[in-house]
Amino acid sequence: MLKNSVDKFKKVYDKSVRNYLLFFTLTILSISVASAAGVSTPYWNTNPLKLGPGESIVFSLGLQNMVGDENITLRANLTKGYEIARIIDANTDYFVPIGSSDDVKVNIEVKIPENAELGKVYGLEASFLQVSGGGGGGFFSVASAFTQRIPVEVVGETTESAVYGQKPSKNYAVYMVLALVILGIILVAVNIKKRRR
Amino acid sequence: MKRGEILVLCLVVALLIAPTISANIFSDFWKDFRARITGEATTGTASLNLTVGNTAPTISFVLAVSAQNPLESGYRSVLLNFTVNDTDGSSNVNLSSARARFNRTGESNRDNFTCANIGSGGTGQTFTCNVSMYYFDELGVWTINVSARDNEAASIENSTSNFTFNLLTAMVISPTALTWPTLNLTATNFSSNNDPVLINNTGNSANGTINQTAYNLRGETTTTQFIFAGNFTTGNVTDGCGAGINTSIMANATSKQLNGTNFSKGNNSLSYVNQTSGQEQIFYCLRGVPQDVTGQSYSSSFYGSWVVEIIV
Repeated sequence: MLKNSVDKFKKVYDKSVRNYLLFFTLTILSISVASAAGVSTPYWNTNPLKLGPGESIVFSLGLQNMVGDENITLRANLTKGYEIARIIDANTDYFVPIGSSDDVKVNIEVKIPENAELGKVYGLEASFLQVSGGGGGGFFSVASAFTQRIPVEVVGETTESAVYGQKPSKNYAVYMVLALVILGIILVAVNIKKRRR
Repeated sequence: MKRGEILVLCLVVALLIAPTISANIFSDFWKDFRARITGEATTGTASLNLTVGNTAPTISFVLAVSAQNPLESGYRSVLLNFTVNDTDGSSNVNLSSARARFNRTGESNRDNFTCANIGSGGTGQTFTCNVSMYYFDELGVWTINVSARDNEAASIENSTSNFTFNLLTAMVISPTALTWPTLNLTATNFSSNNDPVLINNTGNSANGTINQTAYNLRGETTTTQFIFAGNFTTGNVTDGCGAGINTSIMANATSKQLNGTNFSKGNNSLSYVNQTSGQEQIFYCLRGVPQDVTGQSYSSSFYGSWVVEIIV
């Protein structure tokens, strides 16, 4: 009788646990108050990076951590445009301490092919995922990420890109040689004229 | 020169000089005469104001301002130097009159009305100004307007310079850990009990999209059991449960744009919790749980945090 009662109770209890008590999350292991990060860029959809065929440039994106209450690490990745661009830093996990305002740089090199068609716009996308700090350590946590679109336009003659990056210098040797040749011709001509007199 | 010619020359000179001399003589005579008759004073003092023409100052130099990055949730102090010249002398420049203003159509002006004088040279005075550019100020080219006055209130202004305010994509999300009340297997449409997740746009990117990447939740004890990402919906309304136009059904390891959400720039301190204040909120809903799971805790710790992604 007693055994039957216990079995019956156990059966009901198991069913209750089975069907009704699903402990989804009762405890939070640790909670970060907020997740904060920022990425600054000199180029955006209406202000594209402009480069000529065969030209290259290295420019930087700045990482910020001005609001959060802990150091963070952002993992950078080029998700589009890798046929013309690459992150040149050896480690693409960027440690961004509290209070950083563009102190941490992500250096990206862009190389336009010699045969690139004028007017073509390459779509570059740099993604940043917060891999440490900020994200909640609880059972169900949320982290932040950014994807920055940077258009790269192929133009005939570049004008402003050097403001933000280290643009390769043009080859002025040809112009100098040409100037020397012209100077030489003038000198020779003057000399001949003097001799004739 | 003949004698006759000399005579004619003297006559001409005499004719030229005579009226002037006679005018003075007769003038004095009549003044004296009138004074004697009327008793009017013959001498007196009079104050005399002479206005010498003032030349307005000029702005001869405005230091170029390089492109500036916004500062996350704060302001960037932009330093600006300019020189005011005055041909009436540098001391004629009003040292408390120098102002700097950054302006852009559709945006609030950013001013400094108390630029500091940092020195003089020749006919010029040089001023330095710190102008604060806020994190929600629009990206693009801003016009630099500088002005000053001299001590005679003649003013000058110059708006020929500009600078570029760059793009900053930034956010603060809170809270970063979500909880649910204890659920039973028959439960449907259960909202998180500590949502919404508030997203503050702490940069100046506008019209960005908000995506969410969800992952299956694995059992903490029985690791072969899961609550699938597809059991959740996410949206920007309190009744985020269900598959309405403002909710999105999640899928495991898949970035999904959140319907009805918007990532706009704005002053977060206004706390309107809408686009005006650069804020957006996300609600999380568990539509139901698989019927074969057992009572235990399920978490994101194995497959990783769900990711709120801003795409600009």
